[in-house]
Amino acid sequence: MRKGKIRKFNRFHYTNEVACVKRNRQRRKTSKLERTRYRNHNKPADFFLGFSHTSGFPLLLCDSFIYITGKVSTLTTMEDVTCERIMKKIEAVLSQDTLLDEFDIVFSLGEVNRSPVVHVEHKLGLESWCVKHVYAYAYAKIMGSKQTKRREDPAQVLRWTQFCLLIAPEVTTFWNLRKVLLGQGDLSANLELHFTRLILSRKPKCMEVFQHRKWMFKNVIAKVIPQQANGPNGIDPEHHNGNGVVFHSEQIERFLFAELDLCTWAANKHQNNYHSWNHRLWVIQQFATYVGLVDVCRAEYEESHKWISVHVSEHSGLHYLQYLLDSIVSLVNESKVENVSEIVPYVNSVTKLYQRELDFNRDLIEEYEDHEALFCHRRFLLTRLRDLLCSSPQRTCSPPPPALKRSPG
Amino acid sequence: MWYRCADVRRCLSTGMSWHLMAQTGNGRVVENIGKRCGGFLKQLSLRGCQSVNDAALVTFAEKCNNIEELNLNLCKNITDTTCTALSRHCPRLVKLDLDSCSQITDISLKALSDGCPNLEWINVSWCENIAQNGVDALAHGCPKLKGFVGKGLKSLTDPALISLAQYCKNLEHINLHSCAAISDRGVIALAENCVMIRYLCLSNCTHLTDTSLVVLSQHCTHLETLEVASCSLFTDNGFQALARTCHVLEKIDLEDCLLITDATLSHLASGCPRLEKLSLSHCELITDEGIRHLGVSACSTEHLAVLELDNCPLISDASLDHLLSCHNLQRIELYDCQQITRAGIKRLKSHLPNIKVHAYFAPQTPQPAEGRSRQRYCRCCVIL
Repeated sequence: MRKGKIRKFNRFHYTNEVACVKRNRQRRKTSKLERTRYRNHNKPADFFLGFSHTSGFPLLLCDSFIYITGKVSTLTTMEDVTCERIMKKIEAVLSQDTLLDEFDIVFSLGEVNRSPVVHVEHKLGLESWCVKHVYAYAYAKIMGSKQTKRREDPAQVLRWTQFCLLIAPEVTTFWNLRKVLLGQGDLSANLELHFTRLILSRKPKCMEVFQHRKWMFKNVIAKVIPQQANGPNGIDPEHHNGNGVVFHSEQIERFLFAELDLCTWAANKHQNNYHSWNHRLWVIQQFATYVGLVDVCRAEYEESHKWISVHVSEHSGLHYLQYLLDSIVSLVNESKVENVSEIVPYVNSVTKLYQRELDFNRDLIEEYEDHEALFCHRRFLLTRLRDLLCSSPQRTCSPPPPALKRSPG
Repeated sequence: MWYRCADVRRCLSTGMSWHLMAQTGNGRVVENIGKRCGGFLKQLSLRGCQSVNDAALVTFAEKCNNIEELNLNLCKNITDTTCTALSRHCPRLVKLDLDSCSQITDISLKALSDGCPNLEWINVSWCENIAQNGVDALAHGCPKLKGFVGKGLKSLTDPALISLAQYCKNLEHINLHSCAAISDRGVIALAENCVMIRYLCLSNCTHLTDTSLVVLSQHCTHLETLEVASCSLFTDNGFQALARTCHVLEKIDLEDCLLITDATLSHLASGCPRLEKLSLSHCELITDEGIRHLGVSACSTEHLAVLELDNCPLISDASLDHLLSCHNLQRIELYDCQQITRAGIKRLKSHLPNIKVHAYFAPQTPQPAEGRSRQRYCRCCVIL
């Protein structure tokens, strides 16, 4: 019986996490090495170890795995009441303290009869001794309810998934359960945004968190915005003239800037945070037109320069700058701005813009030696400059081509 | 759709099994039950059937005139129309549960008071639109009322309680959890008129003072359960009066009564010999001395089953030693009592093997070596 259950769990995770990878590589002939990797992934121990790639407690999760399988029967477990109590405490802290900005696991042996939930100065800590027990309990509950297909109380499912995601945010199963509840309206979007931010404070490089936020903007918040944008302001979206200034919605603006702040924050917290920059790109592409592409580009260009001058070896940040340069050039080409100087001060033409970038790049290279990312960026700049100069040398003095009609979003 | 009577009967008490049926049937199920069962249906529980609406229940009320117990807990879609129909067609209604039906207002209670004079038990918890007029009418129309459950009625005031007390003298079960607007006046009226009260919950009614407890002790000597969590103005004097006369108290919840001290415990220990469950969570002034009184009292050895002491910072292992003689103790909560140690809990468990001790200690894994060493002493192997 037990064995059968475990196999089912594995298959579930296998389909969830590995299958997408597999699908991408479907046509490529899988090498022997890869095949063994899949097979290993299918083993339970590996799948638990897979959770914890940034924080250092794979051992704890191995223990909880032992508990779930029930193979080691001597492992004493914590009472269900205590587990629930700890989770309730965390839930209460999360819902009451709106300024909560950090979560982490605090090392402790659990030798004192004290609540393992530590809440100090808007920071939330969880003592390490209870993690494996409570996680094992919550995990078993979630999987049990999924298997029996019984309709659990939404509040309880939220509590269990909340705890499990704080510990292991890489598991998409838990996120999917929450998505269902978000769709039903059992969970408020604001609380969920706050919760995902808290997870990022512990694992700023977690892709699933950004994915979840993206999903929320597409499916939950996007449904709210059009009504509020059209309703109280009384502005018809058809009046939108391309600059995006007329179709102004405070809420989108607030979302946009909060999201950009979050991305900067996450990028600062973890080196080479590709997912954070990727998310930033997506946010700009989705929402910048509503706020005003020119304003956003100006602010972002400045911000990006500041960031790069203190993170010289991170390619993700430089790639973002490349995207910004491209979009500034396309704005000029589509004559949405009359001159580059509207976005970048004291720069009159696109060629000058590239020259300025090259100077900036040279300064950085001279100051910080041996950083490959800077040279890659230089290569990009030179390529673009060459294309510009070779294809149409007279473009800078000729009138810009007619504007391309592009719908917002 | 057609349901056998056996099915209906089986589902009556649980309610939850209806859930899916009622959700998919969109209320038609309820109408069908009404049509099939007609006058023979006496009890029905539709707990948690959120899609059941007024139309279904109106048809149901017309068909099932003899219904006695109806549970509409969490049926959030129903409004006053349902209660009007019930009052018009179901005069034999005895027990009605409208918990969390947030659209119910005073009009419902007025209608019920007109049409259902036999009503004995009503639950209108969290129907926040209910105010004085509705409860007044209910009290006038349903004098047989024995149980009134009104948790979270924020606009319920003292005059409503006074009229309830005047007309419904048989009240035994009263729950006024989180009715923050009531004060001593209302509770005094209840205590003076309804002397049969067995269950009283006044948790979270923060304006109440010792006067309430003193008057309760003078009149309601049959009180078995008293819940006064978060009534932070109650002091030792009130509980002293209570313990002097209410000797049959079995369950007392004193969570968050911040002012009580060991004196309360000594009074309760001497005055309430049948005490089964006592909650002292967050009573920060309680010390080992108070628990000693409890340990040597008459209630402790036979009756005391549950003791909640979480977040009492002054409790130490000595308390646990005082409780060793409580043979019936099944559960003790010690969360966040930081002076309690593992050794103390171990000692308690060795004396009371069936006890469940709840505390924040990391569960310990027994050493596998122990098991092996025990096997070595296997008698039969030695003999062979």
